[in-house]
Amino acid sequence: MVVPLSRMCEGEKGKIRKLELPPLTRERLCGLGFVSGEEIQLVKVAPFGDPKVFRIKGTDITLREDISMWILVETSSVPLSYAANGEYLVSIINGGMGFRERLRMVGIEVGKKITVTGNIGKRIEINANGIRSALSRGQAMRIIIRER
Amino acid sequence: MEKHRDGIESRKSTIALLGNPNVGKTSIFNALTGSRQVVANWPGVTVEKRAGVMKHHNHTVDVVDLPGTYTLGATSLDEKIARDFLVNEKPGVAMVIGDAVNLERSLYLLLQVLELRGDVVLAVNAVDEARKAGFEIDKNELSKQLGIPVVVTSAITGEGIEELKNTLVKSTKSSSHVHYLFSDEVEAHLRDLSERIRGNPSMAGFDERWLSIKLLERDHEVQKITGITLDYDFSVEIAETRYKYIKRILSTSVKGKEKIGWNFSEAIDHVMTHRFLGILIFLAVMYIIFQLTFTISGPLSIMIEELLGGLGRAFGGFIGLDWLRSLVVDGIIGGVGAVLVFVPNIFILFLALGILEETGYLPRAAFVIDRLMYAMKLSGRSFISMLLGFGCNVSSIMSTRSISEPKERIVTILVSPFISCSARLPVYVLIAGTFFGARAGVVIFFLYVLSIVITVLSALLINKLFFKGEPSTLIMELPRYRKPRLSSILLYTWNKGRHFLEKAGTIILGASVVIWFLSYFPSEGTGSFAAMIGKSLEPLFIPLGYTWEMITSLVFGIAAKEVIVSSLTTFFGNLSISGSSLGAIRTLITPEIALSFLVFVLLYVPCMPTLAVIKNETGSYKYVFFSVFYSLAVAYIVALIVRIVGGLI
Amino acid sequence: MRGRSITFWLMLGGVLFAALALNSFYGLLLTNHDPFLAIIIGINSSIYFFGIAEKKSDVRKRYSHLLVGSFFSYVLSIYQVLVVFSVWLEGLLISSCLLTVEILNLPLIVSGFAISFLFDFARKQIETNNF
Repeated sequence: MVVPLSRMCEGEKGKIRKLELPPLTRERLCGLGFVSGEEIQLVKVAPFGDPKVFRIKGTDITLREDISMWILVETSSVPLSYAANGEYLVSIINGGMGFRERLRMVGIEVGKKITVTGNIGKRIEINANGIRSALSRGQAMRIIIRER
Repeated sequence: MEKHRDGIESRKSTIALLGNPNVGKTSIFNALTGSRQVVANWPGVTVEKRAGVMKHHNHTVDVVDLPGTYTLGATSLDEKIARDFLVNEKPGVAMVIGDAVNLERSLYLLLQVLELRGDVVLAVNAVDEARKAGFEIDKNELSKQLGIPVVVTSAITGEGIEELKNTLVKSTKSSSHVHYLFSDEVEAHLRDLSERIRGNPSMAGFDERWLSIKLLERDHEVQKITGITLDYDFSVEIAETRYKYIKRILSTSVKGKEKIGWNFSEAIDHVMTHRFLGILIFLAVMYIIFQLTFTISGPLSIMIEELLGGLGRAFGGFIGLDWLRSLVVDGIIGGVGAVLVFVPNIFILFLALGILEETGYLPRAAFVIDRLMYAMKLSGRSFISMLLGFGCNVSSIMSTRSISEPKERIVTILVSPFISCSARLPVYVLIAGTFFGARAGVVIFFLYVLSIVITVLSALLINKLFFKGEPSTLIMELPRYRKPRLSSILLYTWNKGRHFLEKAGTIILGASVVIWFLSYFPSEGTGSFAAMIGKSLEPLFIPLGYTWEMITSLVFGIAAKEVIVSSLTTFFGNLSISGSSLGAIRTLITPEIALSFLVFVLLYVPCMPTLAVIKNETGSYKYVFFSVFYSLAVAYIVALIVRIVGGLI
Repeated sequence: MRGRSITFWLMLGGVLFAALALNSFYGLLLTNHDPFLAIIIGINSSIYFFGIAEKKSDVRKRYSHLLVGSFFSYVLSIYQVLVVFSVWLEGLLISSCLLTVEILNLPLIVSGFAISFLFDFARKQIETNNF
């Protein structure tokens, strides 16, 4: 799926699709290797959530959200909170036993299929195997999903 | 690949060094020129220019170190300088220094240079690190593919430097350069544009193909020079073609399997940029640096003071004329001494900063606290400069050199004087101690907090005033960590420290003589010109309630803020009835006036060395004037508020 | 590499420097009371402890904590030596010896140099193993 660079998961890799940035910024990034088709990886997130370190062409570059949200990448995994409506597979759940248990009770488990039926405002609506649930953004950020 | 003749004449005796930042360009420059180098500024700007001379086998060649850039576009000041130098000065050889571990990106710059001219040499540096990582670079194959001489080097081990020198000296006048082909559509446009340009006689000194490529990339400078602006933009396609070509070259010239798993740098970074540990480590590093600076420079400063004292006595001994003696001892030695006492402080601070920069830690520190700085429309890099301000504003302003965003740099420079430097501390201790006794500590703490608050507010205000409140852009590379070389660090420290001495020293010397003159004539102390100035300014300060002695000390404090202490003790010492020379002023000045005075000292005009450095680093007097008036205004207003509010409590 | 021995060294480093931190905070054994330094030593200790907090299977992360932690300890020792040097120098200038045993803070200096050997160990592990 195609998402803004700022929404990638830590450690994940993606391929650059488009740079929707002003020409001056685009040229600077170009010299650093930010071109279509190039592989990019999110290496690290700063203590407060921004900026982030990306690895491209073997170099680590720091970018803030004001730039990374305008770079579109194609990646396989994304936190659930950024998923558009559709069918996905749960790939990782970042949380303790209690969290996983609560999710299992609504049908959300690693390896299982889920469908996102609504993603607006503060809640994300899920349908997992017939069981409907609504998760908060914070919870959804800890669930990593991939395309089927 | 075609070979293409151009008609550009080259001056044989200069070598220009280009390369991405962090590839070791400076190390190579040092290796080529040794200590025969001069650091100055590129004319009209505050970007460092390094130039030197290379002597090798009876050849003497000039070497110029151009600023590190990723491309030869015109988007940043560094790029402009590099490109302008190549285009206008036409050096005999353009050497591009690449990073063996990141060759792909280095070659992007190389290709841009090749598009512009011939007589290019490629030095692939850090080849020892590449080997450790599992790559082997076939320089002959690279050379064949690119059509230019290629040398592999390691600035750290010294490998390849001899060969590099031989190659540079041998560089023949082959004014042919190699280029590669873009897509048919782009090539067609290039042919058309080249035709148009060739017809224009004023473009005779330039290579048409290069100009055409730049026009298709919508390069502003080239558009201006040629007068041609196109509707279409092929920059993306051109960039992609270059990278495709690079990938092809690398597939045959670089062999070896990349190691999976972490390398040394990544391992370190896991902790250095750790979610929790990152900031803690940063604070710890800052603490260690500050403590070391104060602790070590303490005795060294004492030594210098003693030396100067001895010098003063020696001179005083054999100068008969009273006024001349006073001029030499109090004016010159005293005044300049005020600067020299700073020297250990400054040098150690720069030494520490140099180590942080050489090892590669600085970008990590900036990364970790960036979020906090973003609220002030600045970035992490500024934070480090500001922290230095707690030691000395001069070093903090000088350290802004490495902030790449010009807007951010200026804001940081203008805001630095509000950071309470170590010179103001003696004043705080003296006044707070006299008026607030046991509570002195609280008062001083309040002053530091106020300093930070005003700094933050000023940053926002100045940004809004001068730059319409736009935040700066952050695109920062985190280079590999490397073992710092003692010689590089020492050279770095020496350059920065010498800069401080030259600039601050000359201004302070002049100011010291002037102040000495004002306080010595017509009669010392209360009958002097200085006192007259103080008394004449008294009406302005009525709302604040300062006496002429205080005002005069403030005037003297412009030379260096510690001078306020000695001035005050001199003036009030004459009035002392009881033991403490300042006990007398307790009757003249109320606590809230004293507090407001402290606030005034904290915020008012930056000291002379600081003003000198502001002029130097911003390159214009406009900012110096702004600094003076703005800080006076802020000082007056805040001091007034403090006095009024204090009177109510 | 065996996960258990790294845990041992991390534990050792963490506990040792936590103890040194408390030592500086309260000025117990051969040290002056210095709360700020205590905080810094405490940060060093936490580098080791956070290493233990990493998943056991993530060997490379644990090694990196060992690497940075031991280097930091080494830096602390050097820092202390420099501080002692300047106090000595100051004493020289005012013609009286300012050095006391407490100012030396031998526990810190010795521990820092001792544990710095781990740095080379950790570095070698990282460079020769592909974790």
